[in-house]
Amino acid sequence: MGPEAGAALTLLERIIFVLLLISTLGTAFVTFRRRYVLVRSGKPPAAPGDTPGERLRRWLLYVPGQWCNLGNLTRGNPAGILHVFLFWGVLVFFLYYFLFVFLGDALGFSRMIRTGSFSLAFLRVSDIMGVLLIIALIWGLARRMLLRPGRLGPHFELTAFTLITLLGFILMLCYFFIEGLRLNLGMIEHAGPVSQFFADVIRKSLGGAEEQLGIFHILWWVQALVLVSVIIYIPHSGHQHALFAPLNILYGSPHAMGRLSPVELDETYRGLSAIRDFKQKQLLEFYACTQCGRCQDACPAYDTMKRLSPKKVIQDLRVWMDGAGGIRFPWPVDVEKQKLSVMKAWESISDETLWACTTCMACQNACPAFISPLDKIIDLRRDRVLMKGAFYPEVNNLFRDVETYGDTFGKGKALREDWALGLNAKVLSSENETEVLLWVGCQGSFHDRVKMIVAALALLMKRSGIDFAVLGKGEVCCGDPARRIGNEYLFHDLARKNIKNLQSLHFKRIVTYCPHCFNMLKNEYPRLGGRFEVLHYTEWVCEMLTKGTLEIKKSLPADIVYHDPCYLARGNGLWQKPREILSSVPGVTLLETEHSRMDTFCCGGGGGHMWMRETGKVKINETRVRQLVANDPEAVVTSCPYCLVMLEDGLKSLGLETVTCRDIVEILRDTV
Amino acid sequence: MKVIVLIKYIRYVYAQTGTEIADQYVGADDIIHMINPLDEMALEGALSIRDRNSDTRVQALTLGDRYAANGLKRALALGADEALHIEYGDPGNLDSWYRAAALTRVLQSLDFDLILCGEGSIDHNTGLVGPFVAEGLGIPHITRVIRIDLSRECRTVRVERAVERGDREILECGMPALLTIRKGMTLPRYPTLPGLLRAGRKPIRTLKLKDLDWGVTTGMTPLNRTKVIGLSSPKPKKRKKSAKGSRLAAADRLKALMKRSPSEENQGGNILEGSSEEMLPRVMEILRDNGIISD
Repeated sequence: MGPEAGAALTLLERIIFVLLLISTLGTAFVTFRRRYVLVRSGKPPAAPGDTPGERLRRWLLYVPGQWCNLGNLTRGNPAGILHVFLFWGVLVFFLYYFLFVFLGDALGFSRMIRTGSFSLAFLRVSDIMGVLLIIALIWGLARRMLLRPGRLGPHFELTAFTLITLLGFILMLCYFFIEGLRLNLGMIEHAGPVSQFFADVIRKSLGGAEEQLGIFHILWWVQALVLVSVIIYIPHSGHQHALFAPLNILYGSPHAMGRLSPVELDETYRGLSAIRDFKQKQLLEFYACTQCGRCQDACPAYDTMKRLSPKKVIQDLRVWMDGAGGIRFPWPVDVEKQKLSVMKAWESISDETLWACTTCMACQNACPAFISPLDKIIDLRRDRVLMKGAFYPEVNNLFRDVETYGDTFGKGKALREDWALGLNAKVLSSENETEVLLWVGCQGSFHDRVKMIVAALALLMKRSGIDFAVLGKGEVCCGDPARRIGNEYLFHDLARKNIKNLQSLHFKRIVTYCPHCFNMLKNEYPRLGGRFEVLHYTEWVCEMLTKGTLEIKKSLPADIVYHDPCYLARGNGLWQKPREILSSVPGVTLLETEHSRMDTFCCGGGGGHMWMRETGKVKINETRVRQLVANDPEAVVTSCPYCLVMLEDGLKSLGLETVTCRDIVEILRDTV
Repeated sequence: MKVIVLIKYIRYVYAQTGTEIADQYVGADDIIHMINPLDEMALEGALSIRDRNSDTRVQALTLGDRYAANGLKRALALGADEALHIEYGDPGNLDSWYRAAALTRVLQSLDFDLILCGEGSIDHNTGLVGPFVAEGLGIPHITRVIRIDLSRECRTVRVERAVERGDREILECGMPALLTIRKGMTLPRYPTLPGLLRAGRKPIRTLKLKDLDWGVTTGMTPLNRTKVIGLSSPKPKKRKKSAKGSRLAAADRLKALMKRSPSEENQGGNILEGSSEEMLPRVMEILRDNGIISD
């Protein structure tokens, strides 16, 4: 065997390299440690909702198994594959540099490491990963320079990205050339297949050992310097997600996406000004963000040109957090970023951005790193409402109506039962009992269009023979609009009233008409002490159809497209049952539409937007209507009063008068 | 600088779904209790003054039953510094004069630069208490105020008064004075969580009406000077439809068509369904039948 790599490098060089490495790793470590300290200065997390075993299994699937990226591959968006190459390539090369360059070359253990089958097997793997990495780097650069997918924008950061890609490219080429040279110079006994190829190329094109040794020397130092630059760069770039995203995935807790986290409404609530006002998980998420922009792609507000980009919200908060935590960039940053660093948290996101959100959870669903931009937006809204009383003036009317009259229409308790006039529905009180309690909701109680639907649902229940009752005047708003706008205080007030009322009554289960009420009663009331069995009416109807208590007798020949309500499909995973109901009606052809099931596109009515202004020229509901009518349906069917009203409005304003908008209940009324 | 805001906690009837004719068909569910909205606006006026002049103190004063304390709690949550409650179990039996007499009596023992109150309460709509109190105290009063500006030395106040159809009178007045506030001032603020929590800690001073010392005559004897002899609900009136030969303008005729009753604006009418082609002949028919267009 020829001279060791160590012999080609002088002792001084090896010392310099080790010192460089240690100092840059040290600086990186200091920055990461500072970030760790900042994250830990947030509010501690609640108890985990799953066992360590479940957690580990999930982590193994998503991180090493890269399901975070493979799970959302589509024909139009296959970029996730290249991340698998990147992930495993970087891991393998991390090991390579540690074992073969640091321990091997710099510290002189090369002979020990490069003997035996482990070394050969490893080099074979690293050769292949090197090729895959080169492919991934070229592909990544091509996407940013040529394809320019919207979600990576609006700032493609081409300079930084090109630079890092170039550095990566250089590293890979260095690797192949150096391994090839090592082989030629006899420094090593074996190498991977691609390196061998490079070795042959070098032997044919370059001259003798002297020349090759010289080039080896140069390339080795190029590799070393590039490595060191990368180590300096990583802690201040989006690439730090490599450390934080797996941690975030490990500490995520599984619960229905529709559930918001609660907040203690006492003197300890300080709004959102400093780092310690956030939760640790939220702070971790700021660093875990990869800037991939899938949230931006999924956001209906961004799609309709509002000033809301979930990606920007997270990134702005990350820049804010670094600034508030005293982490400085080692190079100059633009003015906007500088301004962010000196603000309070709630100032860093503008009003227009904040109120444009419809709380549809699409961003949360789309994120491969398990980040939820939504819960930051809600916390910022809470700060605006609870600490400053700052919101659009029209929201004042909503709050006033709900506070004074107990419903979102301001019509009052006395008129709450009017939808049921003539139906002879049993009203639940402390003196009677029932099996099923039909929770109507504000829309069903007062909105002219929706009242008919709820009456039809009550009639359906009558026909099924089930023992059911309504709350009548005792029903107060479930609190969803108040909570989504950020008014936790009002929500607590309403929820406590409802829970107290419900706990004094006798019923087995609650069936709700509205998905928002369903989400509240099922997912958010338990935290305030109200634990009930809650179903959405689509679940109940499916049950009745399976049992045979309800039978679909008539046919309805029609092309129907079903619009999944956000709070039903994405928030609670309920998209199969409504489709089952519709498919069991003879004659119905269920058309498919883009953005359905978990990826459904919001109708625009959530997050308080039924009462809030919509900025911009493009309307969310019209955008969704256009998606739904693409396959020429005769009717758009949904199972949410907000969706119904918003989509009907959208159809009218787009002049599509031939397409009707119906609720599933209306379909059943005509066919059962 | 001290501003006192007179607040009435009203019993507002928003529906008539009761079953007893003796109660005017007003059932228990038809009543809500809330701060008179105009008094809320007056409170907002006082708080705005404090925002601009930081050494101002705002005190809320109410005459009502024990539930009226809720109104004071809300006033404290919105930012009032102190609250005073004159408690009387049956405030519905007091007329405007008696209320004004009681309020005057208490106000005589307080010092203030400005008294603000709504121009009337939406339950009885007399609008008398403000002017009665001002006269009882011997201070000037201005009604229907929509804007308040204090002079630099805080010795006079300049107000804008709503006259009619957007016209404004600008008046200047020495202090102390009483201003009655009309709709048109800034939107009342919303209580913040710290405000609500702090309100729990600010005490409400309570006096009982019967304990008030009427001793030296104030010129305002505490007696009801009016008596309600009857209360009736409006009977549903016949709908007015404009005749073919009527000289009313087309817009007024359409309005008459749309009204279900004289007191409900734009609640009636029919909703037509169908495509534009189907609806248009029907629209023409309706307009023709009602003499709005002629052939």
